[in-house]
Amino acid sequence: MEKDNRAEAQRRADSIRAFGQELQRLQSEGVLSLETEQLSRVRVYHQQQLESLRQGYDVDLADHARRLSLGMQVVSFLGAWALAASVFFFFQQYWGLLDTWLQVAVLVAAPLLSLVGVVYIAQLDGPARYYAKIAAMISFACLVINIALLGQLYNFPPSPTALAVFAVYAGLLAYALEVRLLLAVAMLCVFAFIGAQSATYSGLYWLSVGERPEHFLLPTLALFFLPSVISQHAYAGFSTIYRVLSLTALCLVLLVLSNWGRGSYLPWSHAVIEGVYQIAGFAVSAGAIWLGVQRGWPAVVATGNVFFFLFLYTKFFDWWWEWLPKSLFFLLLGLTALLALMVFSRLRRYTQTQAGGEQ
Amino acid sequence: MKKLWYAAVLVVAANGVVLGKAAINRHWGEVQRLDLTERELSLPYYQYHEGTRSLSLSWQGNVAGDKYLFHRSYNVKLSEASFAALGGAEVVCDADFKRQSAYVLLVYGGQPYTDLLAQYRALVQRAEAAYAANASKDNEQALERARRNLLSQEQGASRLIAVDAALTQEPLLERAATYDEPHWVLPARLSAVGQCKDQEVYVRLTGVQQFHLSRRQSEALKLSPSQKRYDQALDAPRYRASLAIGSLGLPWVERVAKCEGEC
Repeated sequence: MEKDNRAEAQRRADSIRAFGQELQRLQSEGVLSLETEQLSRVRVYHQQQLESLRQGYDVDLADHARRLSLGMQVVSFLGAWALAASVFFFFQQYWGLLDTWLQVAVLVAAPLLSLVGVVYIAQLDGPARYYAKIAAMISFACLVINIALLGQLYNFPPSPTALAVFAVYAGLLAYALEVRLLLAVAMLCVFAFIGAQSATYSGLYWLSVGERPEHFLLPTLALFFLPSVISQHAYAGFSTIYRVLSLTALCLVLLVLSNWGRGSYLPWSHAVIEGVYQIAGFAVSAGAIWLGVQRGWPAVVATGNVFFFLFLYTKFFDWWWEWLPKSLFFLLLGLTALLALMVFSRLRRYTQTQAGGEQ
Repeated sequence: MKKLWYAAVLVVAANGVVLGKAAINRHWGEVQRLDLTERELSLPYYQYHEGTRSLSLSWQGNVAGDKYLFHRSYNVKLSEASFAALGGAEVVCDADFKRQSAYVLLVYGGQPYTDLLAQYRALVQRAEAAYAANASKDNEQALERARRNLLSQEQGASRLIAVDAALTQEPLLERAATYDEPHWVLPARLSAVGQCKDQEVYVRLTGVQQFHLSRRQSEALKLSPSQKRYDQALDAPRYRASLAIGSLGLPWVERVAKCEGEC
């Protein structure tokens, strides 16, 4: 099997380890017995595979190594933000001490030098590239500071075009180094840019785009389906980021409009608009659950679940909060959750039966 | 690594566009200059850890602020024609109106400023009459406030007065041609005032309102932030500042100098 990204390599390594553990159990219970030569060949083959995976993708070969990896990911995430903030405040504190030409030179050089740093660190870093990812975050922060402060130096008015530049830069770094955080940042910039531009074309002041959430509907849908059109197989976790972030943004827009019909362009009464968006919210979240189950996208299923119940509880609040005793209100919420649990449990048994039948 | 090369090209291109625009703005085409003072370009308060300084644009509407407003108002009374061009009371009073992009015409000094001063003098006369009729504490405070506002307008308030507003720049540029005084059209958002009966709109500027000061300019202007206290009249200006507006409409502070004596 082709191993195109680190996640798949990790799954392969986990399969090999699980196979070894199951084989031991089967042998100890007398269910299966392999000849010594066969056992030796399997072991040698698996050892070679694991070594190749470790060298090529820096996979975790033990549970404690995996927990450490998770810790390293969290630390690199926090470290990246802290270092980026440090760069920002450094600029803010000492900026006024420089002449204008030096300020411009520093601003232009910062993202370029940080890119050189990213390349250099990526070459020295392991396959997991923890340090290169931090360097990429800092480079992105340098670009944001570059554009923002250059605009401030020359008194440029705020423009959505800057968001497009940030989106492209973050996207390039994300794909170069497989940084999911930068992909998420790029997506947020894309949503903001498309929303702001469409607001401008509609005659709105672009910073008022939040007052017309419908500007975000198309970009969220487009990015949700993008991994289905352009394969993200080679980039571990990217498909999930696209789908989950887009779905979250889409559901948030529907949630806002289902409670604030005034923010819609639709030429109907506010009550009708809110009703339409409430139905749309239920449909989208239920659709996401169904699609996630069908396609094997657990994160999409989870996100759909969260928003389905958010929409449901919002309706319960609208219907019952004012006149039901609070104890009864929360009892109803709890019973709804139990009912959902029963439904999902049955669904799970059904799908397992189906899977067992297919085998 | 190819993607990182593209990222480098993007950085160079983005900076090239920004610096190119700045250069064209300053060195190509007509440059308009406004010779202002601290009254129109105030020194905002800044945090000790911030290294940069800037001047902040001060302006006011052509309607005198009432007793509850702090030295100035941002209400602009429009002509019938201008108000009708916005869509009249039905459109202006609609909640969606304030989301639209619009523009406002500012005129420096001249008749608009004189007319505004006249409004504040009338407010003082009204307060004096009210106090003469009834020497209550409230009337005394109202008279104090009116006199303080008039003094602020005479010595410290901005002389950049907003005189007109529209959804596009063209009608404002036509109107601006009728003024001899320096003028400036800026992007803004408009919203209704009260029941929209008096053809007034509330204006919020949306473009750049803080103008960067270079290190040399900051050193030449080693002054405390411009003081604005609600219980004191605005101080007289301490410095002059020349604001240049380039061919692409981007402003910058060309010169600043402390005043020797009165500005």
